[in-house]
Amino acid sequence: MKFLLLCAQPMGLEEFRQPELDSIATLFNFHITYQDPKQDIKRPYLIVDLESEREARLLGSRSIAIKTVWEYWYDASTYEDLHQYLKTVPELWEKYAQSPSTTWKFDVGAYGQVISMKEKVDVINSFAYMNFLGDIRMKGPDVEVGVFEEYFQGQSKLEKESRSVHEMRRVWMGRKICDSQRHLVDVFDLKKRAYIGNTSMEAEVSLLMANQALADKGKLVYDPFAGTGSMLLTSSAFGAYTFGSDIDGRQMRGKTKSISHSAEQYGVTGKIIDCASFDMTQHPFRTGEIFDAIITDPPYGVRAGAKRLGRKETRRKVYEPTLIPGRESEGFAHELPDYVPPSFAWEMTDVIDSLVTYALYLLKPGGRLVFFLPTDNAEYADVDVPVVEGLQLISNSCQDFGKWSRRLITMVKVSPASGVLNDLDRGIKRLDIGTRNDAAAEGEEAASKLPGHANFGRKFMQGFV
Amino acid sequence: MVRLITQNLLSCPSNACAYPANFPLSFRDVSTIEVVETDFNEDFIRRHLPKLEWNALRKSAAELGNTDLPEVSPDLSDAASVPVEVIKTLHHVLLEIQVQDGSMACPSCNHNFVIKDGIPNMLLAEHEVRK
Repeated sequence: MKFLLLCAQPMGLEEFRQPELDSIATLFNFHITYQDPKQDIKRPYLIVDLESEREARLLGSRSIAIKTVWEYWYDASTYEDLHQYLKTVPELWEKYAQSPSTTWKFDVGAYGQVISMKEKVDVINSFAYMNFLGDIRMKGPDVEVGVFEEYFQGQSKLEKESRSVHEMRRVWMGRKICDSQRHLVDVFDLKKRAYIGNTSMEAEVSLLMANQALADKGKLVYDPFAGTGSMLLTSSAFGAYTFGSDIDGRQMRGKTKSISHSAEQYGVTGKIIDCASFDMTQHPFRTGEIFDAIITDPPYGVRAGAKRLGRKETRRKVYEPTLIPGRESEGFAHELPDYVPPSFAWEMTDVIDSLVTYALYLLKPGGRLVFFLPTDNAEYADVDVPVVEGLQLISNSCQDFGKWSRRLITMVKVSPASGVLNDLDRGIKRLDIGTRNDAAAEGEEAASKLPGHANFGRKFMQGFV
Repeated sequence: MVRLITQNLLSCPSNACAYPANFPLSFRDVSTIEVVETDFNEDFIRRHLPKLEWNALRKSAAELGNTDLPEVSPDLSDAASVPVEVIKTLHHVLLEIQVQDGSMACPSCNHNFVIKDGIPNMLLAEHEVRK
């Protein structure tokens, strides 16, 4: 069955649309096909093939990228063509029109042009041949018929009553099935949230990420760079139990407010299980295959520097518990309540490589890893996306900011996982384990081109020269 | 929070320790425990069963004053076979008992992980970091 989707077209997020629809289909285990496989992501009207109205409603029950779902009737380049066709298929509308007890309304919209109320009324009147017998009802009618005019973008070409207007590109028509979940973008708006920080993920993107992660009731989802908990909140809003960790406990704990205040605001208090402060490369999990999904926005080294515990090779190292001169009576330095363990800057390539093997270890087979990969547009190539045996790439959606972008990468752990984990300590590379070929391989790597996310923080500060 | 579902997954990450000697972490100096009623989701608990360490969970629950769990573990590898009464007990033990302030200590190296406002600090000291 064909359905017409009216898409939201948020600026910069066009690439996120199809992966979201595909993910929702996967979540509910149904098939979706696109009438035009090379769909133009700049156009807001999309025809998809679904088995029945049930699948259409399931799509609407989770999607952020679309606004409404319609039973597809027709699309044409002119109203003449549209009317001519509709008169040959009265079975589409007669059952509603001929029933005096069926309430109805027409919804006339446009994309790329403003149309006046008078023009809308003229459009509705052009369908008089349908002869609806029932009463018009503006709120909650039994049937809502949609007519949408799509206009060419760019310079206006025509003159109409001393106005410069665009030429109509297409007219689309259908019968309303349902709304989407797009209203959640407003519900989760950072400006309205109880607790946010300067790295909090914007509402729309954190909701799209939760859909990519297939967050759902009964599942356990993890964010290893939890910060102020944006991804925990949206994943839990979709029903999942969530767990967060971060090397910096201050962002999770908050001062006067914390993640728990936001959780209470959205009614997901019982769903955020715990947050813990630790370095992912020094993680405390005793076993793998715990989580149904890992969803995260790693620090890019711009507003928040990625760091890990320890010191850089050249600095003085400490191998034993030490006493602080002058405070010997208080006990060992690391046991004092004000102890802050040393940490050092963690380079972006290392962050991403570690995240990927960490996920490989912690994900259940079939589980998804969803994360943002920041990249210098001048340097990026598709090969920059890490490849690890055991994780399969599902989608790569670019959000472009001019000189740099971030790409939402979705991967799935295929079963069985590979021998990659044998050379790692619970998903993390250690200097003392692994094959002897490591040193040679690293030498080769250094000689070849660096990926677009290498040294990202420093390049960002330097303006990507 | 620190719920038992979380604590049952945590071991000491110090370079001086290895599983199973570093598990479970023992609760110490627990000054605030809250019992918070939480919606029961049977499917979630059943899905999590294979990941539980039963004896450790019983021991840790007892440290917090709860002895609801039977000594003999049900067959955790056959989630569907576990009776719903046990699932309900697990729900209470795993999710509804929450440690807000206290600490967890490693049974092997004695590193004390402080829990403040429900968030455990599991950062390692410099000499404990694995390279």
